[in-house]
Amino acid sequence: MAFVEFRDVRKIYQMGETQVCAADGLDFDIEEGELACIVGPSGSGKTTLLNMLGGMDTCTSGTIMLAGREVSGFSEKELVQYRRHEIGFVFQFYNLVQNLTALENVELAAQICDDPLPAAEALAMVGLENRMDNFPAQLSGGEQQRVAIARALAKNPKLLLCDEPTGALDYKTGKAILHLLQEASTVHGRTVVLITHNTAFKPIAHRVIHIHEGKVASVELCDSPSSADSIEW
Amino acid sequence: MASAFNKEVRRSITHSVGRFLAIAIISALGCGFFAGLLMTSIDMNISADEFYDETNMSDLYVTGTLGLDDADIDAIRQVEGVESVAPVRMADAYATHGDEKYVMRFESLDLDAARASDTSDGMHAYSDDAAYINRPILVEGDWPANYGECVVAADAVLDEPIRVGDVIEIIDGSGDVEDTFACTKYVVTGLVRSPYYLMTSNFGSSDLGAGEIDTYAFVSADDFSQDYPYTGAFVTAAGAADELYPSDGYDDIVDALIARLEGMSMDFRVARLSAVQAKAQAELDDARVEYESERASAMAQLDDAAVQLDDAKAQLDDAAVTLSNSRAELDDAKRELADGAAQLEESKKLLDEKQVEYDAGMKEYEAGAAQFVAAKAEADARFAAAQAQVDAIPDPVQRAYAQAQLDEQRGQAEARFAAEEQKLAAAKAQLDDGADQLAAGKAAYEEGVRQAAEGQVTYEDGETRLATGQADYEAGLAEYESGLAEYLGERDRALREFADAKTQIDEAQADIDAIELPDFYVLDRGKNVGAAGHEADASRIDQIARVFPLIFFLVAALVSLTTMTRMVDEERMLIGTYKALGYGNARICSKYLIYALLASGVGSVIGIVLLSQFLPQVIMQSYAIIYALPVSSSPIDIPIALFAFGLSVGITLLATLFAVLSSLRERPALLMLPRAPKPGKRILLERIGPLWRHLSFSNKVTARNLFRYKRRFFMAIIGIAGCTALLLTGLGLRDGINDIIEKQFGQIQHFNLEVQGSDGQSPGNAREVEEILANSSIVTETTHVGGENAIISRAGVDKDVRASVIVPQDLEAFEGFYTLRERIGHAPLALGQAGAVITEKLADELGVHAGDAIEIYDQSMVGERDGVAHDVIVSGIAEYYTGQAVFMSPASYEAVMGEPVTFTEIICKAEAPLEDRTALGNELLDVAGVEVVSFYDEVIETYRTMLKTVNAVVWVLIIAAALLAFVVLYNLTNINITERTREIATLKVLGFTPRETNGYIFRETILLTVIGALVGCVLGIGMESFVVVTAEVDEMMFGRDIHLLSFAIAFVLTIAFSFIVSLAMMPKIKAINMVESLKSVD
Repeated sequence: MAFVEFRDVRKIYQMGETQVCAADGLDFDIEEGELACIVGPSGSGKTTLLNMLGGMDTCTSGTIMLAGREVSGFSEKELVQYRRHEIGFVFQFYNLVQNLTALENVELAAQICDDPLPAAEALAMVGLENRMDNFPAQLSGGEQQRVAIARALAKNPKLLLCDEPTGALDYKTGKAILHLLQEASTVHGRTVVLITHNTAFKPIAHRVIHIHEGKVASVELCDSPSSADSIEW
Repeated sequence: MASAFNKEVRRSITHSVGRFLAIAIISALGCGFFAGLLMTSIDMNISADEFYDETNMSDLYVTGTLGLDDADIDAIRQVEGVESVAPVRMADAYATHGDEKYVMRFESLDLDAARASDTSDGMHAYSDDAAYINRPILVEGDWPANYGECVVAADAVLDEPIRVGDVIEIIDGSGDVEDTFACTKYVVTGLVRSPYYLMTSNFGSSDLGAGEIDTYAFVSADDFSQDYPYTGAFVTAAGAADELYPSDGYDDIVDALIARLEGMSMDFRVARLSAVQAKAQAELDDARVEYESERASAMAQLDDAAVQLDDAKAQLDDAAVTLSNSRAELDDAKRELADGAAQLEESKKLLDEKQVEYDAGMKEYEAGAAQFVAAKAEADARFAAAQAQVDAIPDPVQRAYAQAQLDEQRGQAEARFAAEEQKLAAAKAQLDDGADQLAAGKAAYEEGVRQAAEGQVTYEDGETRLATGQADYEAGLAEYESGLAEYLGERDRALREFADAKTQIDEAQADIDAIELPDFYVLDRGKNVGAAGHEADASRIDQIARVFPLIFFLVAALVSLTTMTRMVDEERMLIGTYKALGYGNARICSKYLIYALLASGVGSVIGIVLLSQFLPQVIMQSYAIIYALPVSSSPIDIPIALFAFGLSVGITLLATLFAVLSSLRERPALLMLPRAPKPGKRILLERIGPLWRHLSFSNKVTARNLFRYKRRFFMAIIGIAGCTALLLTGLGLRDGINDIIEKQFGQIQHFNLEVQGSDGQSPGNAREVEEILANSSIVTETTHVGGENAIISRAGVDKDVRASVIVPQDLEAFEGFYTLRERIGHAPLALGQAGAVITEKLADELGVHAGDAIEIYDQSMVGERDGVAHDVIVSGIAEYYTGQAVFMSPASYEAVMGEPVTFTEIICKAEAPLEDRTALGNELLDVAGVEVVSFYDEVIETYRTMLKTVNAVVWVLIIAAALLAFVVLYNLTNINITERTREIATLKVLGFTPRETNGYIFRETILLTVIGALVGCVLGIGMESFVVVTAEVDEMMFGRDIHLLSFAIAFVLTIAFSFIVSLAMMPKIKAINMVESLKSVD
C-alpha cells in the first residue's frame, strides 16, 4: 500500500444552480520519502487536491489514505488533529505571524505537536540560526519562506505540503527554497508534496503527477532526480 | 440618473451592514443620550408648567404676620398686573385620624367653584372662574357639600392613609383651636391633588411638630372661625400663564408685579396694624366695662351677706344668755331636791325607829296580855277546880267556909286581875296612841316623798328643755360660722378673680399697645417647596446631561475613527483605482463622508427619536414618586435635537476625514500595492525577561497586538472604561443613597425615637414624659437636647440654608447618641465651650471650612431669615447625611445666641416590636405639650421610597453601559477578525483547534476588557462623584463612597458583556475558510 493514496476522489461544488466538478476521479499514489510534484495549469484542480490532502476540505466521494488511515472519512475534529500532527504546510505567501519572531513562529507550530523538533534546530536546518530573533518584517521573502519551512519541519510531519513555495520569490531565492525542500526529502527522508504550475520543477521530483481538468493526466517517475541547483526556469 | 460612483457608495453600505450599524448605534447612543437628557429637564419643566397652567396655579402668595382683610384683598386686586386674587384662610393643626396624629394644613377652598370645575381627566381643572386659583384635581370621591366635610391630599405619605369616609378631628393647633376653627371634626369626602402641594414627601414647613406638614385638607371658608382673618391671598399675574415657568419671560412679568406689591407693602402694614388694633381695642373696652359692672354687683352682694351674718350673730348671743340663766335655776332646783331628799331620809329614819319602838311595845303588850289571859285562865281553872273541890266538900260549913275562903281568894284574884287588866288597857291605849302618831308620821313622810318625786320630774323636764336649747344654740352657731367662712372665702375669691381680670385687661391692653407693625411677604413660586424642588431637580438633570453623554461622544468618535480607518484600509486598492481612473480626492473622500454621514445621521435620528421619548418618560415617571405631577407627553425640542444631531454627525465626519486623508495623500501606485503589514515590534514587556519567557506564544501575540494598533487600543480602553464607569456610576449612586440610611442611622445617629415638647410645655408635663420613658420597658437610654430650626448663612454669601440647631444638655451622654466625626479619617469632633460643629453638606453649600464664621438667624413664619445675625466660628465639619445641622454646647449656644437654650426634646434608644412602639407613642402623645413622637423606622422608610427613583436611573445606566460595551466590543472584535482572517486561516491550517483559535483572538478582547474595566473603575469614581453631588437634594448628603461590591459588580458585568460579544463572534471565526490562507495578500 502506498503512503498516500487517492482513489477516485471527486469534489463537486454546488454553485447555485450549477455544479462545478473540481476533482473528477483523482487517482494516484505517492510513496513514503518521495518528493512528489503535482503540476497543472491554473484551474486544473491542484488547489482542490491540496485542500483535500491537507485536511482543509473534504472530498465528495472516493477515498484518500495517508499512512494507512482513511483521511476522507475523518470528522471535523479528526481533521484538526490530522493537520496538527501529520501535515506540515508551506504557503505561497509564507503566512507568518507578523507579531512573532522567526523563532517564535516556529515555536507556534511546535508547541501544539506531540514530538516536535526543537525550534532552533529547525531554523538551523534552514540556515537561519542567526536571524531567529528577527520579526518577519525584518526578513527578506526567501528568509520568510525558510522560516515557514522551518515551521513546517518543526512539527515533524508525515507529509510536507508545499503550495507554490517559490511563487512569490525571485529566481535565486526560489531555487534555494527548492533545494531545502529537496533536502527534506533526500536527506531527512520526509515525504514532500510540491504543488506548482511550473513544470520546470519536474526534474527534482521522484514522481510528477500532471493534473488536468480535475483528473490525473499522467504520472512520471524518476528514481534519481536532479539537484534543485541544476534546474533552470 | 445615479452615477456608478453613487451606486458603489450605496452598495458599500449594503455590503457592510455590521460596520454601518456600529457607527449608527454608537451615534444613536451618544446623540440620543445627550438630546434625551437635555430634553428631560425641558420636558419636566414643560409638563410642570402645563399642570400649573391647567390648574391656574398662583404666581404669588401674599401674606402678612397679622393676616389680611377684605380691604387688603381689594387693594391687591387694584394693583396693576394682577390678574385675579383669591383670599385664603389656612391654619396648621394637629389632627387625629384613628390612632394616628398628623400635622395637617387646613386651607379654605371656594367649594362652589370647585364643584363647578371639571377635573375628570386628572390633569386639567377646567373652570370659568379666573379667581378660582390653585385648583385641586379631584382624584377620588366628591367635593365637600356640607359644613364639616373636607377633601384631603391623595398623595400624602402617611403611616395610615386617609381614605374617603374617614373622620379627622383637630385636637390642637398653633393658636387657640376655637379662635381658628368653627368646626373641628371633618368627614373626608374626597381625595385631591393640588398644584400648590406638589412634593409628596414635603408639602411645606409648619411651626408644628417636626416642622413639616404631613398632609393637607381643603375645607369650606365657613369651617374657620368668623373672626379668623384671611391668612393670605393667592395672586395670578396677568400674562404669566402664557410664559413657561421657569423662564426669563415669566420672571420678568412676575418680578415686576412683586416689585409693585412690595412697593405698597408699607401701606398694607400700617392699615393692617390699625385695623387689628382698633378691633382688639373695641373688644377690650367692652370687656373692661363688663368687668367694672360685674365687680360692683359682686361687691354689693357681699355687703348684704355681711349684714345678715351680723344679725344672726346677735341673736345667737341672746340665746346664750337665756341658756345660762336657765342653767342656774335648774341647778338651784336640783340643790333643793337634794335637801328635801335628805330630810325625807331623816324622817324615814325617825319613823323607822318609832316603828321599832312601837313594834317592841306591842310585842311586850301582847306578851303581857297573853300572860294575863293565861294567868286568868289558870286562875279560872284553879278556882273552877277549887269550886269543884269546895262544892265537893260535903260539909256545907266547911263548904261555906271553904266557899267563903274561896270567894275571898277569888275576889282577891279578880281584883288583881282587874288591876292587871287595867294596866294592860293603859298600855294598850298608849300603844294605840303611838300607832296613831306613827301613822301620821308615815303619812307626812309619804307626802314628802311624793312631793320630792314631783320636784324631780319638774327638774328633769327643765334639764331636757335646757339641752334642746343648748343644741339649737350650737347649731345656730355652727351655721353662723360656716356662713362666715363662706362669706370670707367668697370675698377672697371674688377679690382675687377681679384682680386677675384686672391684670388680664391690663395685659391685653399692653398687648394691643405692643402689636408691632406686621411683616408683609410676597412669595413667588420659588418659595413653594414643590415647584422650587421640581425646578431644581430639572436643572440637576440638565447639568448631568451636559457632562454625562461626553463619554458617548468620545467613544463615538473613536469607534468612527477605527471603523472608517479599517474601511479605508480595506478599500485601499479601490481608492487607488478611483485615483487612477481620474476621480478627484474630494470625490473619493465624499464616498466615505457620505457613508459616515448616513451611518451617523440615521443613528442620530433614531437615537434622538427614541431616547428623547424614552429618557424623559422614564425619569419623569420616577420623579412621579416624589412629585404629584401628571406625566405628560415629551415633545422633541428641535434646537436641541439639531444641536445633538450636528454634534454627533460632526464628530463622526471629522473622524472619517482624519482616516481618509492619510490614505488619499499616497500616490495611486502605492495604493495599488498591498499595504505593508504593520511590522511586529518588541514591546516594553519583553524587557522583563523572566515574565516574558513564561508567556505562551498566544499570550505574546496578544500582548504585542495590544500595543500594535494604538487607535484600536484606545477605542477599546475608552469604550470599555466608559461602560464600566457608567455601571459604577449607577451602582455608586445607589450605594450613595443606601449609605444615607446605613451610615446616618447605623454609624452617626444611635437613637431611634425622638420626643419633642413645645416651648411652653409645663414642667409637670415634661416630668410625666420622663416618667413614661423611664417606665417604658422598650426605652433603654434617653438624653435631652435643645435648639430650634434656624437659617444659616455666611457673611458675603447670598445663600440661606435651613438647618437645625442642636444643643445637647449632657455632652458626655450625647456622645452615645450622636457620633460627630470627620467623614474622611473619622477623627472625632468635640463640642467645645465656643464654636459650632456643622454638617458637611451645610459646609459645602456655604463653602465654609473649619475656622470660618457662619451666621445664625431666627426663622420667620414663612421660613426666611429673621432678626439679627449671630456669628459663630465653625470648629469642625461633621459627617452627616440627612438634613443639615449646627451642633453647639450649651455654653457656646448661650454665648452666641445671648440666651440659654431650653431643652425641649428627648432622644431615646428604643428596641421593641412595632405594637409596643405604637403604644408608647400614643401614651406620649396623650401628654399635653408633646408635639412630636417620631420613630426613625418611619423616616428610614421614606428614604427607601426615594431609592426607587434612583433604581430607574441605575437601570438606564446599566442598559446604556451594556449597549456601549456591545458596540465597542463588537466593533473591536469584528475588526480584529476581518483584519486577521489570513492569520486565523493559517492557524487553522497549522492544526489549531477551534478552541485555540478562538482563544488566540478573544484573549486580546478579554485582556482589553480587563484593562478597560480597571481604567473604568478609576474613571467611574470621578464620574460617580460628579453625578452624586449634582443629583443630591439640598437637605441631604448622599454617601460619598462606592462599595467594593459595586466595583466588583461593574467589573464582572463588563467582563460578562465582553464574553457575550465573544460568544456571538465565535461563529464568525468558525466560518473563516482555510483556503483564505492560500490567497495572496490583497
